Amino acid sequence: MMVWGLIVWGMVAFAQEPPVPGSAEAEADDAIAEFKKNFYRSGSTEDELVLAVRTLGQTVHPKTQAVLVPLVTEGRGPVSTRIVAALVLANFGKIDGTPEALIKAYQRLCQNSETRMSSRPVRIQIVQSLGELKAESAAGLINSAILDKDPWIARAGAKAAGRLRGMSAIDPLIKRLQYLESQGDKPSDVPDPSKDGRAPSDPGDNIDRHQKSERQVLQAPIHEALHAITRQRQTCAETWAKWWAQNRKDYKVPP
Amino acid sequence: MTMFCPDEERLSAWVDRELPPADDESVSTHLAACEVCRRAVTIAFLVDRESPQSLSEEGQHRLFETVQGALAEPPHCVSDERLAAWLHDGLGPLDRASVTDHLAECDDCRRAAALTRLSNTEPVSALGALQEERALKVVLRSAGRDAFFSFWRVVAASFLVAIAVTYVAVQWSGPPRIPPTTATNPPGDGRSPGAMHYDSGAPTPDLSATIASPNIPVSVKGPELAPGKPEEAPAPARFQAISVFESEGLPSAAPGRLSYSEVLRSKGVASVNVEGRALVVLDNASEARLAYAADAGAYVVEIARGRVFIDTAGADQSWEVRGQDRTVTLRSFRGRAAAEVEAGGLRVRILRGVADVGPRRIDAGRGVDVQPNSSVVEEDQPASCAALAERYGIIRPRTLLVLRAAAGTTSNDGPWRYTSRSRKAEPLKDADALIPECVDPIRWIVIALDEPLKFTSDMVLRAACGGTGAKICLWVGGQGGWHREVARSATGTSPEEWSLRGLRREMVDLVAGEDIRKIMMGVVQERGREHSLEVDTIEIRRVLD
Repeated sequence: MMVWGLIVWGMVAFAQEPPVPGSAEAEADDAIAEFKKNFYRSGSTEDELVLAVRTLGQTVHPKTQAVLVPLVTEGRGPVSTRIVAALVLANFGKIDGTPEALIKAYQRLCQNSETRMSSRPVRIQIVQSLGELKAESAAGLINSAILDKDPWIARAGAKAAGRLRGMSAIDPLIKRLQYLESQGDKPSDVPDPSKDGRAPSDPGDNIDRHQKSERQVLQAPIHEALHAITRQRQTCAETWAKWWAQNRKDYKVPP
Repeated sequence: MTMFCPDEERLSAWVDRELPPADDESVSTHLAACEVCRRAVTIAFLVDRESPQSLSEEGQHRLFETVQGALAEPPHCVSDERLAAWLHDGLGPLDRASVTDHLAECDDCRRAAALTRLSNTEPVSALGALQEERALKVVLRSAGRDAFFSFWRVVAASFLVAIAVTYVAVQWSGPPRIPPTTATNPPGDGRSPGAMHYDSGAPTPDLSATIASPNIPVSVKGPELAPGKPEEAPAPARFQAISVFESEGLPSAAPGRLSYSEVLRSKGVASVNVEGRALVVLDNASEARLAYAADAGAYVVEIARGRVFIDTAGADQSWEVRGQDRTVTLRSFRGRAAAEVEAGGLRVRILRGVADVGPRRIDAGRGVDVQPNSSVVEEDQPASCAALAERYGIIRPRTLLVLRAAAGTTSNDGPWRYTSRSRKAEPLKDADALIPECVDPIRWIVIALDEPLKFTSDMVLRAACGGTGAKICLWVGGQGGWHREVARSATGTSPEEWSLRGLRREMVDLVAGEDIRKIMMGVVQERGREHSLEVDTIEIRRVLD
């Protein structure tokens, strides 16, 4: 069986024609070769790794997408390479499967409890990229991000929902707003977001931060997202809930 | 071109078969001997070919024959070896006179000789700019006699202009004419097993005044249809002044723009910051000069005396190292190298990183020597490289300036162009959303850059600040921005330095390669109390490892 498999694989490989020079596929192959040379060169600095990913992201092609997607969750590289991989994939809207790949990457990062906190900027970037892609298939993830415990994930979710303009985001946005208003100006219990991943010797760490409360972080983006979807302006969660109760039946998102 | 050459009008008339039979034959005879005129006429014919209505069948036949003759005629040029020998004064009187005579007539050989000289000496014109200009005149004169320009003539003339300009640019910026190196391993050689010998062929000789090569910039004029709109051909890379961002140890006026003719002379050690991209450090009263190389983005350092260190500051670059009429080109070079001229040869050592030299990849600890007899030796030099690396470690600059700006001023000239309205922090419209996690109002000083600066994570911001505010927000970006809060510890106007690493937007780090188009420094108005901030000069530097 294995021999047959090898034979079939060999025939398929043999039957594949090499890409035409100058074609998009050939350009993608060149970009990947250049990426591999720079990314896997020994002694590369963090910036060089990031620039290698950025450069690869300039060639939008299914082949480069296939190289970039695993980098989002690649645990060996620095966080910055994962961030930039998620960032450049926002330009891959024309390539099938990009939102789905980002959604899977997000889910993988959430499942790993050990790296959950360190991967937070990557997850935020994924949500932002999904918003940039206006991917309807990501509506479920974005809606769950709006309700995330971490206000900065929720903030990214609200902003992405405003870009996507899906009707399904209205409910979670109003719910989150109701929750915020019920909590008052209590500071967020999420660890100081500005300190994770920061070098201890960084002088910025010595600052007594005057951190915004969860409400201050989230209120404005939620109102903006609701306005972007509905073209309506309401003052508080209660008025939004009232309006939505009256209009949700047969509601269509205005153009 | 000689005094016997027919002028453009006569050539043009010959093209159009308007000369009396005797004159026609005379010009034809001349064309058979003179390549310059033949080429001019060929180009004119090629243009005519684009307007077939103006050519009879006989004319087309003649065109075909002339073009074929011009293109397919076997070359009578001197060989490369003879040309090199001529350049070296290595020919006998008869041979030398023969080559000189040929050079007087043959533009191609003259160009080759001039290019060879150009590769390591004072610039001379390596081009037959006059020739192209003359051909163009012939074309235009022919066209000018018609009552109306034919469309095709205009198109062809434009095409010619484009070819001429491109040719000039390519020839000026083309790589030096160095014969290909061939690896040989001489018998009985007692060097280390890793040593590789190259025969570099003829070295590049000194400039001789024998060749009269006019250094005429090509000024291309369009046909009479668009008078008064001359287009200057871009200056060759080598003659564009190179930006020196800062220097230390030089008596000259650097920083500024440094032309190729300016020799860097240091009494002791001097460092030169080349465009914020690389460092050249002159050791022990060395002398050198800097220029752009033929390759885009590549540099030349020509060492007149002593030793020079080259530091690419972590980037991939190409450097041509010249000295004693020898050249070693480091391609895909990222790291540090030392180069020195010594006893008629040129020595290059790779101290850190890697470089491509010819077909070989040279790692740290290896060296390339170009011997006085022009042979090239590449071998391990660990002790020498270690000593040089130690020496460079002592004298190298620790930071690389990439931007300097004064708050409250506008700069439209020089390497950094920017606009800054005030040196005192002021409230900004719609600034509340700039720092979402900060509840207190912030007043800002803004410096908007005309050209973006690529962010690298080793950047620091130095600023000479005054005022009462202690909590400062740094903000860099373009349409969106990354920010970070820092503490101001110095008092008075002492400069502060903050790392730009760790700036964030929506809790996502700023990563390398992002364009910085605006730099802002804000002072937080803590707990409703008013705090001021004044900034004089800011610098962004990269901290070199």
